[in-house]
Amino acid sequence: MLLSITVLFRILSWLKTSLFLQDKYWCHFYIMFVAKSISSEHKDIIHDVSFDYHGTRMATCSSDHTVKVWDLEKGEWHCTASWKTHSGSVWRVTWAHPDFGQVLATCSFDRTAAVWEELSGDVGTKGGSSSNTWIKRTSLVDSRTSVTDVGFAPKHLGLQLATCSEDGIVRIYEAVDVMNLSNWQLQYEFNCNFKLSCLSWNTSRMHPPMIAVGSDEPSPAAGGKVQIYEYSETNRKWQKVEIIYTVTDPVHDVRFAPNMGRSYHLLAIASNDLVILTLKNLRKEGGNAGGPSRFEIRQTGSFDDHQSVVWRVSWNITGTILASSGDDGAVRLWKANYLDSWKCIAVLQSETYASDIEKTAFLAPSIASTPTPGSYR
Amino acid sequence: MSTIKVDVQWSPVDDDIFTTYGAAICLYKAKEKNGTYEVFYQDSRTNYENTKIIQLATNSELQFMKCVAWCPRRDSKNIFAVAQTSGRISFIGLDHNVMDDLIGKEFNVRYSRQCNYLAWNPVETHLLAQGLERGRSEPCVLIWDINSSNNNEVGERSRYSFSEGPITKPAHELGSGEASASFAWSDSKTFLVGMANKHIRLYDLRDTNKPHMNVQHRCVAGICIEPTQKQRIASFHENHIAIWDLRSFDRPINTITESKNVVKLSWCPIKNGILSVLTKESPFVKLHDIRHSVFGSDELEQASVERNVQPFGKSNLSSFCWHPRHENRLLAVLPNGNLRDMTVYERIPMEWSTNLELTMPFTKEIIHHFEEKGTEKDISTVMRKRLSQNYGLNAHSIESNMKAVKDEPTLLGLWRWILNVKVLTDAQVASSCKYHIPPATGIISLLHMDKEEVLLNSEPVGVHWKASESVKYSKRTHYRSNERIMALQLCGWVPDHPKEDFDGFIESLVRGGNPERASAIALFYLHIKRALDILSKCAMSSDQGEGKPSLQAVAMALSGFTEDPNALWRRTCGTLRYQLENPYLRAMFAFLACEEDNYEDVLNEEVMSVEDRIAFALIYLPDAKLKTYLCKLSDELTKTGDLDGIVLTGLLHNKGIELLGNFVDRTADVQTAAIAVIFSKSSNLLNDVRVTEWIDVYRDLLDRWRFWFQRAQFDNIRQTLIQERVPPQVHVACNFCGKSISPNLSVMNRLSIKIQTVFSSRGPTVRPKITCCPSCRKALPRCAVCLAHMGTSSAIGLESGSKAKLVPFQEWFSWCMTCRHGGHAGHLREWFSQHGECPVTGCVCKCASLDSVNRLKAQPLNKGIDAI
Repeated sequence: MLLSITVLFRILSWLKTSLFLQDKYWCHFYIMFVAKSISSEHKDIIHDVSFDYHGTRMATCSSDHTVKVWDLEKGEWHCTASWKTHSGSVWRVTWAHPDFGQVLATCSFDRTAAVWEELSGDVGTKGGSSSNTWIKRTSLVDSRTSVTDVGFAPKHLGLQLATCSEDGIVRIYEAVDVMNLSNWQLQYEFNCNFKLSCLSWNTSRMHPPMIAVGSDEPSPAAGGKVQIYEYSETNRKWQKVEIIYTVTDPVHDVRFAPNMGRSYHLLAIASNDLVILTLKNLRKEGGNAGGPSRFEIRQTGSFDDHQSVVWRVSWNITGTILASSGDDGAVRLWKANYLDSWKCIAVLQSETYASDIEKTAFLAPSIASTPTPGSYR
Repeated sequence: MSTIKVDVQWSPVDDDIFTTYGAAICLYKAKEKNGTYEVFYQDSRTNYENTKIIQLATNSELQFMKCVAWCPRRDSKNIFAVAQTSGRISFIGLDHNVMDDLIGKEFNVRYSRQCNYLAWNPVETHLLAQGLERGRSEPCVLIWDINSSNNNEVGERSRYSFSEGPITKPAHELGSGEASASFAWSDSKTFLVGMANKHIRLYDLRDTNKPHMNVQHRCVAGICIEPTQKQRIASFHENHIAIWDLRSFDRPINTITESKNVVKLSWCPIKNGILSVLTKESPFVKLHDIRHSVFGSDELEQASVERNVQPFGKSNLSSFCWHPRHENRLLAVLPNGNLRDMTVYERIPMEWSTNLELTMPFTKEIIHHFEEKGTEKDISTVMRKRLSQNYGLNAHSIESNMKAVKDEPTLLGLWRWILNVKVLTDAQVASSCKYHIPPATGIISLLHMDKEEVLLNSEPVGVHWKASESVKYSKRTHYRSNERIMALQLCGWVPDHPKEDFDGFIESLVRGGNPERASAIALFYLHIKRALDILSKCAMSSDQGEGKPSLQAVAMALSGFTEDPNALWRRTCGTLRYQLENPYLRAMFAFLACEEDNYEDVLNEEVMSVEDRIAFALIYLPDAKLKTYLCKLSDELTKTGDLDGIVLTGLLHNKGIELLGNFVDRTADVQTAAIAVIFSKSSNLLNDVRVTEWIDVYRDLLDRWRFWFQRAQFDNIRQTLIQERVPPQVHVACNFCGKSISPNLSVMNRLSIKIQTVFSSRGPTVRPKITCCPSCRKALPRCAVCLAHMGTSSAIGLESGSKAKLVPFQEWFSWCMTCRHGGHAGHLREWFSQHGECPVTGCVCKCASLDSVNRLKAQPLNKGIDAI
């Protein structure tokens, strides 16, 4: 059923982590990536791919209204479920923490978000090769417009689900009884007053619940396109704590990096440029007053390498490598050096793309860099 | 130049040929995809080597070109129908090789009028449609048949009397007295026309007298039919775009309002439902995804998803054209004639897997899965590698941690400190001395330097040089106190008075391949003879490698040391030492050359390891100076998150946590932070929020990587620090008395004698085995399969050899949570491998299918048992 080709991909890997204090010692590193291709059998554009907590299951969603679930068995991905989820393009799919079961949430152009749970089929019918069925636990129909993003809260906040929609409203649902996933209550709702395209939960346990939202509103007049909200325990509601005024172009994706015990938060923003922000909490340890958090926001990087638009960003598990994809049809990987300045460490470009002749690509690492002179002290 | 609009069009026949037309018609060939073409005005020398687009031909003979249509016939390539502003149509061939009888042909209209469009019929390629402005009662849409032979009607000659050539009459004429704005062939016989600024009409060639369908709408310009779905039609008027469906042609199914007037409207030829729009003075082509407009068809909604394609950055485009056969290939042109052939990529979603694999669907069909095989190590890979070398998993061996990170010098300082603290505390416990330092102490708190007043009372001691007798140097002042000696030990230095220890220490350094350091330490202890010996010995021994012979020269230079401040030796060494590469050699010269107890040069030798610098300061600096130096150093190292600073700050106080926190901020190495806190045995840290966060994050990471065993080991090590009771999770209660039947700790204590007796009857096996409730002595339930009381052997594997007897899992009490029947785990597993129902007579419970975990677990469990 699956066509599985191992293809080597052209990697333009240029530079560069300087190992030494002196600028003149640049080390050139190759990142080699070996690519495996899986035939997805989706009938339309895949909008999102998402891994579960352990990285052994994968879900994809597409404009063909379906979601597919893939399981990693003996190093190979196998599609174990595929079903129609919505009556419109499915924008995003995301996994809940496995403590809550095998649970997926999807959101769609059809103005709904849905929560799905896997039921294991009967054993013994055909000796174990039973099909896993996903059943819809609930359909969240509060939005009047396309639901553009959906995200489960970090596990320590319980089973909460945030959705954002084009009408500018973020809704936070909670499954009060984790055993009963059909009962989701709309706990909070706040209006950001512009068309929303993406949201991201901050996973830090040291910080109160925090969500960043982004807007793909085209007009620059709407101001900062990324806002940060925080749950205030004293007021029992979500409050806007920051607006990122520097980002006025439409934003297509925001992602908080996994916190990893850092004292600051890292936020990647996919706009016309790729923007990486550092948010440092200014509130001191002792002053645990109920007021909203204040942040010192520093822009650690802004890159226009994707030429015009950056569509998606994704952090690795430690928040040390950022992947971004953009209009140039490439995925770029970014890494910070010890001075906290981010550099592109690899460009992944599929040579098979749009090529109707051959389905193989080649490996041709080309070093496109010479250390720029003049930067030495 | 820029006033004339440049338009662009792909060849209807060839995949890599296209044309631009504005003032002139140019023909281009794209050698590769994604090329650009730049027009140079000053010197038209285009660099052909780099360009992927080459110009094949150009024709600027025709004046006042209005419309150009590319003949779609395969046999006559690169022939264009060109309409001039007068309405005259000429045929030109840009390819000089091609001789076609079409070239040179001309069609003329009566009443010279501006031509609005030319359109070849894509199927019946001899038909060419022409649209004209209004002209009296003349028809505005003419369809010419280029194959029709000369029509010699005399009456007609007068009508088309402008030309001297052969006169041709249009095959079809329609729309008298109106103007036609746009035209689109639907198929070989039918076409859509936008007429008179208010009608869109569908005609059939077989009956052109009246329209097949007619709708009144002001959006009559730029009619285009979606190539993939012939029903969908788009048209515009100024800044309004209307999308139609031929099946319900009475009103648009969707409208889009742009901010500026539309210049060009086109469907994506391959992808379904993508409408591309170029507006006036706009740098981007807008792509509307209108597939969704069918949804909720009752309402007319603006819900089309759009994105912008910006081929030339901020420069405003003149026109664009989709490649008719290649998906997502777009050609864009600037008013100055610059071209870009680009691929409009899909949005690529991607996600990292937990083990640094990146998954991205590049297209709808294929998902690419990238696995890093690189040499550059990300911290996530590094952590996993360290785990495979038991980093932080062996509670009793700090050395194993050091071994796991032996390639990472930045971490070694931390582990050396932890090791030295442990050695020191162990020694104190052993010697039962009165002063005990707490675990995780740093030098600063050891020397009481975290307090305001100087509590240290070190005595200055004049120490003689240990040189050969012939030379006499003046004494140097060392400062000594018990705390300083302990601090030195934390730095890994051994005091020089039990001579054997010191000799061993120096020897081990030399053997460890670091003779410079050994020599420097010997020198700092004023064993100058020894220092020189080490250097010369190393220089001579051949197995030390090539780089070392220079040590002989260094030793010679050092031996010339004199204390006379004006001597030549001092002045030369003062300058020459900067040329030495090894920091220890530099420090040795600096030490010898320094005057009046001013050791700045040694102390600021930054390449020398932090511990050695501290140790040097501990010997030579008086208390107040030492405090300033150490505090300054510790602040610096804390700020940069340099783990070498841990030896100063320790992990007892906030300062150490701050340093560790900065280290985590910088490297995201939460693993080292979590392990270090636990191995340093600093129990009061565990209440710090940051520390608990690191530990939680690290445990979560281990779980995500499915390193459960490692997490359990980590928890066990942590447990020794917290010393809190772990609550039991589950126990099996006796049916009769309700007490737990398992001999857990409390029961064991209470019933130790009874259980002893039960066990003793079973002979030498010490395994706890009971067949009755330990508190009420009632028999335990029977296994549903073998009907023996629980607690007896399941007898599985008894016949297959003694090895299997060691598998206690087979004898575990297992049961169905629903019907509450059970028995020996081994028996039940055998039973349920063949049956779905409960083995108990009369019970119809489908235990096996209820157990959702059963199937998933079955395989690994099997393996696990076999492995045991």
